[in-house]
Amino acid sequence: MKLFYSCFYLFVLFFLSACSNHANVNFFYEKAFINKQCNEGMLALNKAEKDTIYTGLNLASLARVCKDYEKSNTFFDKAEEAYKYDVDLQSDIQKTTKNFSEILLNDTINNYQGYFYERIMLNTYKGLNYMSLGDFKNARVEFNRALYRQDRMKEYFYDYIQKAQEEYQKELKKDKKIYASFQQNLTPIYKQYDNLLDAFNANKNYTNIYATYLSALFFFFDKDYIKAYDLLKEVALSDIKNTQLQKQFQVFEKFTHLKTNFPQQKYIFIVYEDGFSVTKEEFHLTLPFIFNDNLANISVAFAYLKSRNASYKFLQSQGEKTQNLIYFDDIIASEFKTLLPSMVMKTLASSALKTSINLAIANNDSTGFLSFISTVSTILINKADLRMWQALPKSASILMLKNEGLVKIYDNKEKIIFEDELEKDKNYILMIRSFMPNSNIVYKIKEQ
Amino acid sequence: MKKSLFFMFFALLIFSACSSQPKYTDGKASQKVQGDALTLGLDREDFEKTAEDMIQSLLNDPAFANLNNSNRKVVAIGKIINDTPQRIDTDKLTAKITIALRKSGKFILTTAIAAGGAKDNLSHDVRDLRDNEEFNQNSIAKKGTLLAPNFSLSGKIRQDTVKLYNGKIQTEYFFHLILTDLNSGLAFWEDEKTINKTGKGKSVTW
Repeated sequence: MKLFYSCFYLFVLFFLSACSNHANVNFFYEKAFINKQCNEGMLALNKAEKDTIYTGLNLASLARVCKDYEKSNTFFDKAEEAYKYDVDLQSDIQKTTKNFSEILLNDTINNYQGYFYERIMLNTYKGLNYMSLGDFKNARVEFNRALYRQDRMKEYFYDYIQKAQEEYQKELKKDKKIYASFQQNLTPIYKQYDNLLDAFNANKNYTNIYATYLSALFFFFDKDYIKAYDLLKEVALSDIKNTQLQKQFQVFEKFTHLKTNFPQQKYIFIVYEDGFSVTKEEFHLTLPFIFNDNLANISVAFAYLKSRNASYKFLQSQGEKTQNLIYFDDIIASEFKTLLPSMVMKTLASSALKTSINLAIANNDSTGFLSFISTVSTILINKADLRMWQALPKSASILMLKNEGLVKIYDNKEKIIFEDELEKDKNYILMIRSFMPNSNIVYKIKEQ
Repeated sequence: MKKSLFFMFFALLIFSACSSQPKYTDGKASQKVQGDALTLGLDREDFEKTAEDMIQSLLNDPAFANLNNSNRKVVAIGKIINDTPQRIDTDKLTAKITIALRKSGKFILTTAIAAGGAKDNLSHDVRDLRDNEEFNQNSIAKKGTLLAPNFSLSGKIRQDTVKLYNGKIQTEYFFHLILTDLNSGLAFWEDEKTINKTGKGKSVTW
């Protein structure tokens, strides 16, 4: 009996560590980006030793906000390594243990595994950081990585998701009665999600043309004009109505002709990253489950995507406005929607297991104390995993201007937000990252 | 009986463990295995083998058959672009090639000029001492003594990855090198060597 109590208390302790859904941490990072919290304590490298992907990605973004590009890349490197060794290459035994602990408690008990779109953006931002440092050799490696991941995603993503779903289905089918009640519960859950995800235009091919566009700019700046042209062609063909894209494509095309001298005109490529992408929030549904022919109504926590406000509608310069290239919300929603069935299955399995444990304890506990503790613990850990990379923009838009040696960028209300002199014989990327009006960071990247 | 079953199980286990190791292949549909590879990424063996093949190809080229110690040509290292998703020190490839070129007696490497800056700045720095009274001016290199290169060695390393029918991936590395005559702008020699490796694609190659 003593052993039973000890195990139980250990179990409760373990339970409590999974009580946070990270909504407050997400909010903390969001505030840090807006307020540019660049102190050393905030950006200490050892912070990324725990939950490396989640912390690493967010702190890498904060270091980028602070223009500490080297530190930003160190955080990104840590996150990238964790993607490889802690996610991709984990053994089947590790996966099973992880899955079991997630079903028993919730996803937050284990380290954040991240999303595929995040990996592509990780390498893209690393590439931009290297460009800002003037290290075009390493920037090329990072943009190649982003493109490689993009290709891989097209090829592997669907298989990966299918396999995950099949595994959960197989697991659930082991208990026919519980499986039947799961099936019955799926309709109200998906109905709820249909309403929640209605606002997003989820892409089917998961292609992040923003990564391809920025890669095209890099190769253009690195004077690899044929590769730049091929990449921009891919982007331009995906949105033939985007006049900005078509204009830039025509400029790139001029550099593919057999010439000894290329056009002398230099350009400013304005890239505007607007606001914050969607964040995850939690909703609860009370669902009926059948245990030993008894019906139990259980409150189950699910995550959903909530869109956030834009910053400026557009930016303008030389009488022209930025034109939208991509909505990140849609990219995120695409992956979220595809992962949804396996996520729902896992949450249902988790809720069923926790409740059956509670019932077993209640049946064997004459004092009622253990039963009470167990029920409270279950309520406390009934949380959805809300961890995300918080720094991605809601959308990105572009504008190309002739470099006349001076640039002035205005917001949608004609208020100037950036003014600077530029070397006339160089191409520039001016990336404006605006989290909210009057909270902007401008990255100026010069051709070598 | 039990023993033989156990042995078979053990052999199977070893076999399955071995089969997960990446292999070099001919890169063709037949997928002829050419030995075990250390990783799916680029390793030292790949650079050594490629450098060796490239040196043989260059030295056996008829364009350089008549070169010897008396009429050897000066080579400068041009741009060797790493166009892969892996962080590679391209010197690993070029150093082996330039050492072999020098040893052949047909070529010599200049370190005074190279793409991205001189390999050794001292040949320029020493000339900055011309008006420095602390130095014996007669010992300082005279004007017009540096030899301009006759050829430049440039190239690119690329990587492609294809998914195979059996779920594995084939990683293909292309090493492309060109020796350009700086006088005429003509490529006197060029070659491309390919390395193909197949293995499980659970993660990225870097």
